[in-house]
Amino acid sequence: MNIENIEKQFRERLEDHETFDLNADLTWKAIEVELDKKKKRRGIYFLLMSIGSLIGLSFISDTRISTKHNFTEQKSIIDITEELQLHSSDESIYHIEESSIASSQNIEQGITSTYFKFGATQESHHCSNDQNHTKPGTLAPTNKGLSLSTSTELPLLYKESELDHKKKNNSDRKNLAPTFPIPDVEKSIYDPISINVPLLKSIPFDYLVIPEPREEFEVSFNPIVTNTKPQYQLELTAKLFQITNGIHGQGSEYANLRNQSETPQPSWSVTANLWQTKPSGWLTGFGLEYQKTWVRFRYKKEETEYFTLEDIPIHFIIDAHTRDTILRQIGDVDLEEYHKRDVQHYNEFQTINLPVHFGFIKPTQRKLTYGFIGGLSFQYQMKQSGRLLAEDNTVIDFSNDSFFKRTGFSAHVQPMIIFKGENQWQLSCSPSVAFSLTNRLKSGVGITQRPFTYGISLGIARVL
Amino acid sequence: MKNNLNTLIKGCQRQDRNSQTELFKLYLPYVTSICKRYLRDESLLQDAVQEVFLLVFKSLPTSFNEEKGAIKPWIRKIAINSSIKFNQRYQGFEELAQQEYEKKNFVTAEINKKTSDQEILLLIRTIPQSYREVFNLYAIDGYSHQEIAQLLGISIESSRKRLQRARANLKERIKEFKNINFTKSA
Repeated sequence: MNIENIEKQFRERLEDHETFDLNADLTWKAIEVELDKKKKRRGIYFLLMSIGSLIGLSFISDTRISTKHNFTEQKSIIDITEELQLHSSDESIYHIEESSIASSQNIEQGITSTYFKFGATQESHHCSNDQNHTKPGTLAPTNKGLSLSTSTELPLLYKESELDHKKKNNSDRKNLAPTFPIPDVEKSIYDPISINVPLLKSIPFDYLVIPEPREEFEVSFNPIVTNTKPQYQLELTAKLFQITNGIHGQGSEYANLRNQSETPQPSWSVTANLWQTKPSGWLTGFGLEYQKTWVRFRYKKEETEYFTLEDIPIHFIIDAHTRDTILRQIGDVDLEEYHKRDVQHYNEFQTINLPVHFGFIKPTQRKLTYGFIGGLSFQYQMKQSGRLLAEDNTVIDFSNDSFFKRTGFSAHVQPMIIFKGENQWQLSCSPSVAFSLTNRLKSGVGITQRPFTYGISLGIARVL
Repeated sequence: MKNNLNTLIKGCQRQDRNSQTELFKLYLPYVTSICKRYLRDESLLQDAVQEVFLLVFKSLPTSFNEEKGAIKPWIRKIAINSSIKFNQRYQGFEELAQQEYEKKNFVTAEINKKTSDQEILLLIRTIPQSYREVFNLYAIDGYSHQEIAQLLGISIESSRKRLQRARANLKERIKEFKNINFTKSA
């Protein structure tokens, strides 16, 4: 018998050959365990997203506050959505969030989900400054209030395995053998679009604070590109947000005393984070964030003449430099020339964050997930400040135009425990502790800031 | 039967656990046979089969298109690719396992009076790993040399050479196998 005949016989016999060497029950049990793990992994994506947004928020908030407080010290907020937050400090943060209603179908199959969230927020900040301030020691502006917010997430999942991709490229090949490597790489893009519209923010009841809601409209596009083997997640976030006003605490008071208000400014940020999740539950990642913000303070022409520095309580004034700048700007410019036009004090910020993340998330069989997430971040900020603009954005005066550079470093760690309920009706409780430390190493305006935020977050969320 | 299979596939695409169980039971022996034919070490069989089914269940909702072909060849492709990937991943375990396999299984096969299909499977398993992959792909599963070269990351010429060596090796084995059979029977 020649080899061709042998091969033909072999082919005929083995083409549909079946062998019963494996114990079906045992094998199936092992597969079932893996299938269940994959379901849990879906939860990890959500977790990653919330962690990502949490980290993003903490940095962005940090920068936002610094932009708003360009006359004050820089502060750091950890703004945790979907959770109830208790920050203990001189001025405690009580961040109560949320009854969250979400309708979620099978995300992995690419079906759109919509979430509605309602929450209440009460927060304040604790930060310390150094001797460069007019008033050394701790300035701890307080902002306590309630906040209601709603957000909609439209996660759209695009998922294509390597096999499918190659199949498309080889559609004419019918049942021929594939000429591509094993399809063990699955790529998916999880892209929730979230729109966050605070209905009511900040009803302060501290006597120092005037009721000035911080209104921000925020749209974020947050695709996560996933490669399951090894498990890498590339999280991309593009965020548009608007700063209307909302200098907390003394900022609002300060603005009021100066008859000054912020002009609504659209700002944006883009973030990329690369995460690696290991089956053991460990997470590591690093990222890059670029943020561009504009802040314009509006001076009402008719009202600026009433403005004097003496009107401002001493602890609202940051340093001599700022005081001089304000005086010079107001004093030097003949506002009469711009009859009935408002004048804007223009600030532009460009911030680059380089965060490194690490953490551990472990789902247990008892529907308990615990872990922690931490990170270090290096920040570089460029600020252009001092320009005066007319209402139509034409430059009135740029003699005080200045360019500042700041570097910063921040660290945070946040343990967390999450309980998950049954079926579609998930009851989640997520107590967490957050700690963050930011230290501006160098400041163009001569202020070294060491804001320090810490707290305990507790949360209850119900997902439909 | 076809309707039942379609129902099963649709169930799997919905990630219905019962449908997944049924599909698994239906194709387990088939997948096991393919993996066994390709794997360098039989101790990897369980893991490889698990991996195949996990891939099948994961890819079914998005990758499998009934109009483009039947489920069985689709599963076969995944099984072949997975096995080859396993072999690449566990390089180095080969030779020892191979020798052990040769010593034990011929005798076992003969003593147990296994089916001739099993004997063929055993025969193929005695071909050295690198030649066996090419032989399996070319002779049993109908791949072209070009496809094999792309799949294994080798040249077309290497693929041809390996096939020749596999054939030569197989001829020798057939003779030995018959001798063993004969000897034992006597």
